[in-house]
Amino acid sequence: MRTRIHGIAGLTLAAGAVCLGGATLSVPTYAASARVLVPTDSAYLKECGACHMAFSPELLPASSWRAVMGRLDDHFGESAKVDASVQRGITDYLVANAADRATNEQSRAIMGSLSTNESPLRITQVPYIAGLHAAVLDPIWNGTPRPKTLTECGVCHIKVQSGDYKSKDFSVNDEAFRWKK
Amino acid sequence: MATGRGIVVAVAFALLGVGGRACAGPVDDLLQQFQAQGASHFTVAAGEALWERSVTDPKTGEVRRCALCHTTDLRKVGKHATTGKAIEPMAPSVNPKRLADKEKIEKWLERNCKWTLGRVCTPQEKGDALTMIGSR
Ligand code: HEC
Ligand code: HEC
Ligand code: HEC
Repeated sequence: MRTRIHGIAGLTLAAGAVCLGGATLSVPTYAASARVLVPTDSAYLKECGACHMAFSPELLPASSWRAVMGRLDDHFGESAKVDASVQRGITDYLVANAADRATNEQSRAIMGSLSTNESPLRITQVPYIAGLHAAVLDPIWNGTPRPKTLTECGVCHIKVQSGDYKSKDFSVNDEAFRWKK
Repeated sequence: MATGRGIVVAVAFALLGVGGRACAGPVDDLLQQFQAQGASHFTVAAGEALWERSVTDPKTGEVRRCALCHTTDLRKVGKHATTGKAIEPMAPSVNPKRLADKEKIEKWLERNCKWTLGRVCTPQEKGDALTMIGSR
């Protein structure tokens, strides 16, 4: 299963490289995989980017996106309901670009931390992501910033607009993460 | 009766015209629609009162009001109460994109009334809110 997905992704990337090849041969599209896809689908940005940032589809598996999209009238205490056709379009976009199809390092770590059939509704409930953030969510942690929840990733990951969670440009102020600077 | 309603709509037009906005259209349509649903005349004062009305959510115990996310001064950038995401100013005088799309206005009034007040807003409340926002 995995191998097949990677195979397809590899082909797509190879095709991308061929296309790019005409213009700039030296840019390796494959190796830039520390970053996650920055969403561009206009319906997704419009309907899913008003209350919080429009998360990269590559941060959750397809099964999670289907679950989130299947209960939009009961969405973390709010209603994010959209027309049925818009809902289908956004679901298709998220599923087609989900973490299980992605080859970047973050998506692989996300998939690797989930057991089969585990479909968290939150990115922050994915074991890999939850583990990374346990320290900043600990009540006794005294670094900054201290948002109420982790949902606005960009508060700390200031390069998130370019899909970069690994960047050394990081607004968290704490001894433990000094190496990041 | 019919003339009274005409005057009310005219007043609403005038109020909405204050900011010198280009797109009065969608709001006028909605105000007429709300009146057809039984609302009487709309005032900025009633809209302000609705904006600052506090309602305690029975499930979470949180005290909620419109200003929580959109701020009391509608010309300022707001902040989503749960996620902390910045919300562009609501006042059309500083953010011309506001009150320009009928579907968008209806969608958010429905969502925000339910979340804030625990129920949908009446046509009267919706008209008052739009009249107040349009005056900013
Ligand atoms: C009306 C506001 C609103 C809209 C619109 C909205 N959301 Fe949310 N969403 C929320 C809230 C509130 C939370 C919980 C945030 C928190 O706990 O900080 C949330 C959380 C999430 C999370 C989990 C984030 C985490 O903690 O890891 C995902 C995933 C998500 N939303 C996806 C979507 C998608 C997809 C759409 C578009 C269909 C959407 N949202 C539209 C309000 C909204
Ligand atoms: C309060 C600040 C804060 C917020 C908000 C936050 N993070 Fe983080 N994040 C951190 C810290 C601190 C680390 C580093 C942990 C470590 O290196 O041990 C981190 C690390 C990460 C990493 C690993 C980066 C690497 O080096 O490979 C990912 C991926 C990540 N976060 C994703 C997210 C996502 C997705 C969100 C939003 C849903 C988010 N973070 C919100 C503080 C935050
Ligand atoms: C939990 C946060 C929250 C609360 C509370 C809230 N809103 Fe909103 N509201 C939003 C968000 C998010 C949007 C969409 C923001 C955007 O388009 O930038 C929005 C949009 C709107 C719009 C559409 C404006 C436009 O772009 O034309 C109206 C009208 C509105 N809200 C009115 C209200 C009223 C009236 C209340 C109180 C009953 C209220 N809101 C309470 C979050 C909130």
